[in-house]
Amino acid sequence: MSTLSTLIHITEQIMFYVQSNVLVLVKFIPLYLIYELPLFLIITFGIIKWTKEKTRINNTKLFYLPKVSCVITCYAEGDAVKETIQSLVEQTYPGKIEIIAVIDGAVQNNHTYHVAKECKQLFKRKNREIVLLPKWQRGGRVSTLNAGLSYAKGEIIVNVDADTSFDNDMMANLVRLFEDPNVPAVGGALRVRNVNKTLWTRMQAIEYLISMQGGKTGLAQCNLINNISGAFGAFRRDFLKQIGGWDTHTAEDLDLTVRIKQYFKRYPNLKIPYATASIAHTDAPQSFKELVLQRLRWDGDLLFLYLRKHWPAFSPKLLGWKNFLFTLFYGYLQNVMLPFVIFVYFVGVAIIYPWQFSLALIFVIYALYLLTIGYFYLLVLVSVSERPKQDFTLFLWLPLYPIYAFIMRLVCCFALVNEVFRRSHEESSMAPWWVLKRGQKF
Amino acid sequence: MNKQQLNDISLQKIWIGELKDIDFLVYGHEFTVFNDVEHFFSGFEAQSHFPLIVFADNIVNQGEALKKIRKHELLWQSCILVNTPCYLSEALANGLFNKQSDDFYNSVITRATSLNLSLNLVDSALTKLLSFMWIYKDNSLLPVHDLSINSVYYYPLLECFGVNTKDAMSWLSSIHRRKLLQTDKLIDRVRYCRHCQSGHLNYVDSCPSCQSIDIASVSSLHCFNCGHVNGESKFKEGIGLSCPNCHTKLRHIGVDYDRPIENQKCNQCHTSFVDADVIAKCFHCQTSNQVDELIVQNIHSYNISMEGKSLIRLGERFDNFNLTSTDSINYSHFEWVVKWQNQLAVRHQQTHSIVKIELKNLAQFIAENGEARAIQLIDEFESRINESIRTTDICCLAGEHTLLLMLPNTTIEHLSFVYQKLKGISLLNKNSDFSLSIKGIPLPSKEMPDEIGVWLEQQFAAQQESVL
Repeated sequence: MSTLSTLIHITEQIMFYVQSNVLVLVKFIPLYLIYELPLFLIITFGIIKWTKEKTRINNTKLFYLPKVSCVITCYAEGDAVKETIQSLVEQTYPGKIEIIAVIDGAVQNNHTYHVAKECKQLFKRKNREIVLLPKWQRGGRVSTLNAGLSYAKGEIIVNVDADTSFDNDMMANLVRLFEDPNVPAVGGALRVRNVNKTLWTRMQAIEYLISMQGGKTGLAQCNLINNISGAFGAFRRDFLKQIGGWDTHTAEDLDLTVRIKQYFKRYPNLKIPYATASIAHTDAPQSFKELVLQRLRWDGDLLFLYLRKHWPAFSPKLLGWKNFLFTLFYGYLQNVMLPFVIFVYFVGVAIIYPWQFSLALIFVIYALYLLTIGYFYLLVLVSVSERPKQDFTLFLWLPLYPIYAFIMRLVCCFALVNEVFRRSHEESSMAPWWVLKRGQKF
Repeated sequence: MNKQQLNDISLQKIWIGELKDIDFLVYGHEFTVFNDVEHFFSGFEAQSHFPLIVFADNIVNQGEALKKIRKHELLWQSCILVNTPCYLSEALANGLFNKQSDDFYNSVITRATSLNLSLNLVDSALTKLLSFMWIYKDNSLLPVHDLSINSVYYYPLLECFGVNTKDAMSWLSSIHRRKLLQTDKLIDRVRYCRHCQSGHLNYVDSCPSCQSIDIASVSSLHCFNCGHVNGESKFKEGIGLSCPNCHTKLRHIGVDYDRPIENQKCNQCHTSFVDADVIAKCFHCQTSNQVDELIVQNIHSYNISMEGKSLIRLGERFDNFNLTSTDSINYSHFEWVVKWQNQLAVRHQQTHSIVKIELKNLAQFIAENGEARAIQLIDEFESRINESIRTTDICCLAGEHTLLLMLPNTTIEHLSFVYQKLKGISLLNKNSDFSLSIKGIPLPSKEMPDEIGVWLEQQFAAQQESVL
């Protein structure tokens, strides 16, 4: 009990210091200010801009109705494929949709193949065509996507994961964005489908809501999308074919986004919007172990892609200054440097100061972070979320989020070390070893 | 028959159109040349029933000309060769004109003369067809696709031989039932209107209750929020769906809403149904047919069968009377047995005999006592023979009044015993006026051709008969 009162006492002390001493404030919060404030402003103004845009779009009728091909990358998802296909068939989009289920390793994944086959029988609707493309020999995600691309007849290609399902107005909202001929690709909005399964899925739901629905919506208004998700993205077919489709190696989604962005300087009108109103629901990892494994892959691949594969092309000559600086700060520094800074800072504080003081300091940082998160959460809830009631239930879990975010930063540190020293991108589970072996080394 | 005789009787070569300069056409002068089809029909004089008629390139209306020749009462079995194939040439002509045409024509003449068919007796389409297919053994009876006729497919050769196109299918099936023709390839399967037998049908989905084709599919949605069920169109709002009852936005199938009913509705009688009826509406008589009530017709190409061959070679047998007793086999089977036994005999140095027993002056007997009595007599005769021959012997009725016996392991010298036995039968019928002519030939023969019937005939013709 005395520990707690000491803690409260020290916290009060720190609060007092913060209020009375600007120097201390400068000492503890500069990182936050330098780093988060620009992002904070960009996103806030972006979202406001988007809200206006949304009103304008909703009041105009859709006349551009190209044929769309959805490439579903199926592996061992089994029955989940059914929901994906059905939700695509159910789209209210009045144009034609070609649903191509590409099953990688259809011999091992026979169940998935049969479920997809059953869907072809089951779901028959006007303007919807289900195509099965079994790849008997396993070839990995990239080969699956490119196989789908080579078959697809639609003007727009939507790549989706087999464990992802969609709101019925997804396609109508998505196609809208392609009306602008300067749009070569669009990022799709992802939501967590299994929110209420575990604490971890709840945390991820908050994460997706803030970083995707909030962050990407805002950033896209300034044409600063950093990644078109591999689980749900859309591309103009001719453009995609022109740049050679998906490239081998892991993190093919980030790779493709980076490659598209390399045209930004040469074609300054190009833009990658974020389809905030095109909602996809995907299953997030339920256990901590699965989550860590996923993040190890994501963060490691990110380092591989930025620092190994695309390092030579990382230049304002290709990206333009705006995207160069943004990628430098919020691509490289945030994802590569920041986790280490946080780790070192945290350890340093714990070693240098007495534990009561360290704890109090961390509490203040926590409060600051919670405040930021709370702000974004409310912003998204009020202005972006199409399911505000459902998202409101996450409110109670918000206090746990800064802790989750901190743990994820530590996982990220580990992932980066793992990539630097063990070249973890070469042991991806996204393609068989005989394919990975032949890929160009970076 | 030597070559000279053959020429005298039959060879006549006709060229229609411009006689072109072909390197293998050495004997160009052998052809009588006509400038066109009209010219040919007005100017030719039939010397042969089997002339060789060659169509030059680019004959106007070649198909019609082919039909005209096949319809001609004297020229119907001419050997017709073309230089340019047309849509009817495969069905009506005998092939393309080329280097081998001369040999082909000679072989046709040989077969035609051995058939020994008196032309003035040939009046029925069946005889024409069978003899044509026997002479031109590689020709099949081919169907041709023609959209201008109701049946869609027709057999040009049958039409030329006088079978009405309308009746051709039933005629063919009766001939096929009699096993005179055998099917070659299944070309197509056509469905015909029950009312007018037209193959021009329109398949439309229609209301099962009033048969109207004015139907549309209707889909209902079920809002999970308030339980409201209504037509899909009622839920449409902008680019999405929204419940007309509780105004909830329905975003995701299975989460916000589902489809409880998916069916079709008739705009005429307002009946709702799940599966529409498919009806076949005839383009000709407007009759609406149920699909499973349509007449299904397989369209085949046909070849002459063994039975057909023996019929055309041996003449009309008592097909209408049941003469095939259990102990005797049919002629085509007999031919096969002869061939087989011959091969066995050659290999194992065995000796067999074939005996031909002919009822003489049967025609006179029929004239005096009537056909029924004659059949009775032949029946009796056949059964007596079956009784008196060994079980290993084979008996076959070949032609109207001829029996063939196959006697395995019997040399020609032993035949006198057989003759004695047969004489006994003959004596039983003492009071009747007819006698038996018996001939025997030995097996094996090393030069037996594929056409056993012809060979048998030649062999028996060379033997002396003994009359009992």
